[in-house]
Amino acid sequence: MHFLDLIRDDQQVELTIGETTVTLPRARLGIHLQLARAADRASVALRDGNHEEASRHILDYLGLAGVQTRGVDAVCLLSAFIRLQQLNQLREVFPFMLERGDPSEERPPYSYDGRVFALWIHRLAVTYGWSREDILGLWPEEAMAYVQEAIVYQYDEADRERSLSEAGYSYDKTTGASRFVPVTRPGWMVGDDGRTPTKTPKRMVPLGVVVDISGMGPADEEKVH
Amino acid sequence: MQVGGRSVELRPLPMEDGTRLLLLLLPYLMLVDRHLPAIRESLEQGDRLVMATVRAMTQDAGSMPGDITKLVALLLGVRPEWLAQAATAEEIVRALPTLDRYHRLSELVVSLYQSGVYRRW
Repeated sequence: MHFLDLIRDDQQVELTIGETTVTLPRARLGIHLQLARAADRASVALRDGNHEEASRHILDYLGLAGVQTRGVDAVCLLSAFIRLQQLNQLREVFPFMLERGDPSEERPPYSYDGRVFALWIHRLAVTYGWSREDILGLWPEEAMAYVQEAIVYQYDEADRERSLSEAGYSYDKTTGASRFVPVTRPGWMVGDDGRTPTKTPKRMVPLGVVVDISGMGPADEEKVH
Repeated sequence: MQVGGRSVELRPLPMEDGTRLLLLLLPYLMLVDRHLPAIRESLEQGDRLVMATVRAMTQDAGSMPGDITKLVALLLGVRPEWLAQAATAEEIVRALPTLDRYHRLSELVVSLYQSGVYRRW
């Protein structure tokens, strides 16, 4: 689907709840994440045959989506639940989302359930300077597209910085030429993107000790001073 | 409505019973896939969806009576054991269009088919 279709403002569904017809909008990122969690929990409870829990999560889902559920027939609510799920499902899976971590790798001690969402918000906030509210108000696919761009940009920047240092080049004795060695990229980013790497002329590569003034580098103060 | 010699008042289904109904329906949604042309034809002749489905699936309906009885009992708000003993098969089939209309079952089935979300369950 074209990116511009993913971020259209008129994404909505018309539902008949009891005797009333309501038009509900597609959820933005903040509600989308909560809906996805409720739908997953309902799905697991349904598979386990736990009707009490499944119904609680379905009602949670409907409440989050803005459906008035009191006194309404369950069949009608289930139809609404299904149509809302259809409306709110992700319409695009971005390449970076397909990257699987090593399952044998232990989670770091500071990890927790749902950390990936905090990571996305953090990355968008750091990259674009947006507030949490701005980010949670994006369309889900829009947020993911920007997260992917932020990751690609991070690697491009790392390559650009690397190209400024002699450490980024490998000298081939047989040809007598040096070749730029880019940073290792994740699998989803590998492939010919049609761009030719820009080589920084040697005369423009900085010389001498490079001082990290970010305050976030390794503790090498002795070398700097 | 009159079922099994007694009058039953139809009431909105609570969500827990709704999820039970959903799980009863799901295996048949898969089964119904290959009967869709016959169901569409029946719908075009004016049948309600559940009735159309039952008609189209007569050949494959060997395992259905128990589940259909449970499903109808849920929709009526009565115990399936009572319904199985007190009501005739004809009464149960006759009750389907009314139950379909009251509980809007057709909408649920159409939503399930259009979305395909049931495949995740």
